[in-house]
Amino acid sequence: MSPEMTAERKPVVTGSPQISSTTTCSGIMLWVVIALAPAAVWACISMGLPAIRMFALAAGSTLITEGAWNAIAKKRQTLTDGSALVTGVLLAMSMPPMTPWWITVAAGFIAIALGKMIFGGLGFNLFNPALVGRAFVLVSWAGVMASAPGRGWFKTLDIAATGGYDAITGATRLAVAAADRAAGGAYGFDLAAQYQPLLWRNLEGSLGEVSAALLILGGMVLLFKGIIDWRIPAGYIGAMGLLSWAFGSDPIFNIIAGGVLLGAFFMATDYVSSPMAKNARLAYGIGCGVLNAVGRFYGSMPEATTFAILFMNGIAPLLDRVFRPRVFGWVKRNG
Amino acid sequence: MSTVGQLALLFIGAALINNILLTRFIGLCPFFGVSGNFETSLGMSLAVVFVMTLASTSTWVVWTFLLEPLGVGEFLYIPAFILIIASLVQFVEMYMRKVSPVLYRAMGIYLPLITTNCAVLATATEAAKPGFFKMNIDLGASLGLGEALIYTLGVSAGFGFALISFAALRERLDIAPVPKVMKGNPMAFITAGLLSLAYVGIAGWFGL
Repeated sequence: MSPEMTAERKPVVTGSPQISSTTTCSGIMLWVVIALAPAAVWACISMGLPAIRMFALAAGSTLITEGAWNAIAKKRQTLTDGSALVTGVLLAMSMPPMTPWWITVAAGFIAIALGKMIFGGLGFNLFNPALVGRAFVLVSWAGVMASAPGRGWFKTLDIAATGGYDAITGATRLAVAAADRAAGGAYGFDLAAQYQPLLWRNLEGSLGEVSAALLILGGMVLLFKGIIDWRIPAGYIGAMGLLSWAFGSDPIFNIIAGGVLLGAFFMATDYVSSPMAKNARLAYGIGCGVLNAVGRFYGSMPEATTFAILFMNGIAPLLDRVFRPRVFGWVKRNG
Repeated sequence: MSTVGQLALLFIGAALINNILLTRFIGLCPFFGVSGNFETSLGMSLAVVFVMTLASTSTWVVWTFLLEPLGVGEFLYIPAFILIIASLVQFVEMYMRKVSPVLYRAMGIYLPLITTNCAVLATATEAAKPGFFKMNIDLGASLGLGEALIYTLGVSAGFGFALISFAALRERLDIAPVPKVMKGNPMAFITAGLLSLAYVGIAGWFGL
């Protein structure tokens, strides 16, 4: 928070206990970047130049936007808190790698300007900035961002098929799975055979889908460092697995494919846009998972992570109100 | 008669997937007007559910048994429906004030605000005669009274849900150091836009 803001906002003095902590905002953001690093570096090694270009464009766009905003608004520079970098990296990992450069730059600008700075900067954004940027370009340039084969994706998927077909082509494994479901399983797409590529080296998808195993590793790091609350990813992944099983699909495939892991560990857990109360966090995670699963199976697009989390961001304050912990020592009015 | 599953889909489609506020942008005046305060938004939501149900039931009856058989519905429905809704709601408001002061304080004071609200009129018209308002949800040629009620309950529940969640969001905005020029309504519009962006993602689910 900038000094001129604190000047007009009176400090809040509360009673004890007041806990002293060495945890800082930039420290937490650094750990998020460290947790994302294995998956990001592996994506760069696997895909090469397009991946590096995507990271540079997205992170450059978010950092420059934040710097420029603070300079124009004559506020204290906040680049060092690291949140703009995290937004840029998350944005890059959620986009198709070959997206035209100007779309990536627009997404980064919208993410920071409309997603964060206009609300007063870090700590006041109601929605996850990276997802705001992504959803904005997804809606604005649906034709360019569409998950059609060869449109912005690094390479298309060709998988040998059965039932009178030689091969099936799709943008991602999720798109092929959706097409196979729509055709009543006529392609014979083997979900269990996709575990290995999805876990270790999956080039048909966004940068964040290259390796599910490395994302889980990063998520575990954040969990064990106490940076994220287990309730959100547990609720999210649990609901996703249960529902996809209930919908007659393979739960493991549906958890490691697409944006679920990136969303559950790194996006839905955003401190600012997720609820604060413990039970509210569990409900929030479950809500994300339910929306993601229903959107994937009954929606109009192959994947629904972005909008599932944005939707739950929108009702996070409401969840906080509903699940507000009981205050002891007060008598309920009219009760 | 429809099955329970179809009715459930009708409800979800009317409430969330084709949310009247955030995908159709009908009834935005109460959306921005009373969302500044959480308790007020609760009362308003209750009032909207009540008024919409009442309005749809009465317009459905009038349409089915009076306007359509007489063949005058196509050009008389707007004046007829406004007259019915406004007088009915005013009457209920007077009745409520005399009979139940508690209920009146909880939601009665919002009734005059929404007697001829566009969202109420749109929903009541759509329930009576599907297709007059382009509500983006396929209701077929006509609805039975039960279906019309489920549809209305869905729309009004979606209205209440969007309004209440928006009011909770705006409570957070109140304490945020937004730029001075953006304070108040401008920020509310931007937030509503971003909230609406989230609803774009659920458009077309279940083919609704």
